[in-house]
Amino acid sequence: MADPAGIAAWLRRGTLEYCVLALLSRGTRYGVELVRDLAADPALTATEGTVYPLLSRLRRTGWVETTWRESPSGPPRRYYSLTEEGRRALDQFRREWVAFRDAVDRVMGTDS
Amino acid sequence: MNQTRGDALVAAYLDRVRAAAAGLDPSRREELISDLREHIATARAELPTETEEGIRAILDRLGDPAVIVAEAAVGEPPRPPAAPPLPENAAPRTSDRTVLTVLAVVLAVLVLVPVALCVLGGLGLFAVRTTEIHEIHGSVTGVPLPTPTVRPPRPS
Repeated sequence: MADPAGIAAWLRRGTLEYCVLALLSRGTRYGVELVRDLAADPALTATEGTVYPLLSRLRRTGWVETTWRESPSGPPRRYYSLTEEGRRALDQFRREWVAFRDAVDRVMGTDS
Repeated sequence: MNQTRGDALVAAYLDRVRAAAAGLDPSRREELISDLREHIATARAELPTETEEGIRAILDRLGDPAVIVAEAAVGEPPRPPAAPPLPENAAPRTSDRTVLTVLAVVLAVLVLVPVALCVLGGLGLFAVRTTEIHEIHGSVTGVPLPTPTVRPPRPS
């Protein structure tokens, strides 16, 4: 396993939700699209399936909303989009993230 | 490929999810299964041609049901919309645990303190007796112990 200490899993835990919000801030996406975009980078997700519990939390939090649309092929698709509240949360995360990332880099000596 | 074979693969996968999710809140479990079912249906429809291999690839990419369920179980919402209802037995279990801890501490005190006292007392008594035996060594058993004033002078 690539992450024996669970470090990647811990780091993802607080940030992946906001990565979803950031992807959605560029436009609505249906589940499979969204999940594949995220899972394309193995640093972000363990597997595609693990994104769904996270999407469920975001729906319940009210940061994303979903609408069903007919698909040109196959079953109707559920599209995810960012709510106004989700957008505010994303803005706040971006500010916090920059400060956090810079501070950690300084301490770790990973800033260049 | 045989359509029913693909359906069977999907059904078996979702069964594994359902089994892994047995400990989840029922509404969360059903939501997770319906999200995954929906994903699979959409991804299947996007396969250029539906093959068993293609379906297996979709399921492989979704990943191990246990890992998905672990994510559903552990994650707390970044900001919960409302306090999630606790499982009915969660509160009693917590207080049970507290009671057990208190009991364990009390028992430990009740058992350990007397034991410690006995050990210490025993050691003390042993020391005294050893001294006494040493002091009255040579005297006849049963004869009242001489008081210090009448004790014969020690050999010099």
